[in-house]
Amino acid sequence: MSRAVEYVSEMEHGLVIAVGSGKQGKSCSLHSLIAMCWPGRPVYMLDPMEYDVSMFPGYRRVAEAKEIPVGAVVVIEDVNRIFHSRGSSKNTDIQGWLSIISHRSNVVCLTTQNMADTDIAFVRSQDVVVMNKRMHEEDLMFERPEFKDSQATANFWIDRACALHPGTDRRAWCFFPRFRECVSIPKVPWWSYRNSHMLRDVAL
Amino acid sequence: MTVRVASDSETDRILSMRASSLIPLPPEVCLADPAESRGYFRMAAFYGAYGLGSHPVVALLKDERVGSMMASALSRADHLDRVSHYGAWLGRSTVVIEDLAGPTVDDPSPAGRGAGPGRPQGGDPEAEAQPEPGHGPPSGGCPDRASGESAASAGPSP
Repeated sequence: MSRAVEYVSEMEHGLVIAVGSGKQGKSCSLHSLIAMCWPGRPVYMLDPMEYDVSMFPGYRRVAEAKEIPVGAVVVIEDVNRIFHSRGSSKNTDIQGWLSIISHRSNVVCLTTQNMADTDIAFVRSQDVVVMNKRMHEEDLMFERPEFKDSQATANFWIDRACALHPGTDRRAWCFFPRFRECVSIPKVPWWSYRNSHMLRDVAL
Repeated sequence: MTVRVASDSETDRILSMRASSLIPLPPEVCLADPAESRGYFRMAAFYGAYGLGSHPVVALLKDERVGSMMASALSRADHLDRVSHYGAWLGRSTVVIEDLAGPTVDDPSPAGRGAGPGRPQGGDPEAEAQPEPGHGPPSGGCPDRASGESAASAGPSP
């Protein structure tokens, strides 16, 4: 088993951030990682938009951070849609919540298209595991410098892993810079088109 | 280790040529186009004509074998991704590739198994492709992909 996946399965509190350009399999890999690492743990989707959460079997949806119980895994899809990238300087809710996730044993899993558009308060003084997917060159140019190197490395190693394992879906590969590992995560059996297009029928 | 990646190809080429060599090169070679490196190594004869034949760098240049190796190292820099090249020479830390989501052993399609054409094989200093942790022992007759990648023995055996 890979060191990165073992570490994540032992995580009691912290953050898992899936970064990558659009449609590179971030959500699928994130949910597959959750299913693989924490099989019995309650999972909550934090999202003010109202969509049908039954397409994610066993998940529940909450609109605010204060409704999340102790010990749960929180999934935030497209985090800058819900917590704006400079919002934590004006609104201290996110900082207050993040400071107690270690007390409440919550793991927060985020999906984002790049770290430049993500509130950096998520990364400060937290146990963060970044999971890189492929990022397009145009996005990579504008990425934060502290994440740019690992993202460029991730691009290279994901391409390499795809070449070495042609039978595996190219969007299953993830790079964990903290563990220097490129892992392909098996897709959960319930993942479908509806899950990857979950906001399709939601009114904006 | 943090590696800063330059964004223009000219700086890239200069830095990768410098980083790829553990031996200092004369300035004409350092800043030269890798494709012309052969010509520059031939200039060693001119150094000799001007009485610099005993200089250690010129003595090195005169050795054609080393010259061709260095010329190929310089010209090869174009084909390597920038980050892995820097990583290989400056960092020396390897990345482990683990395939947990690979096709299962009872997948009967033989395509893509074993040594495909152009698959990078052993002697690769930058990566260590680990064989996948057993999805169970391979059923008879189906070549295990992991054994196809291990450096030593060759392709799929039926």
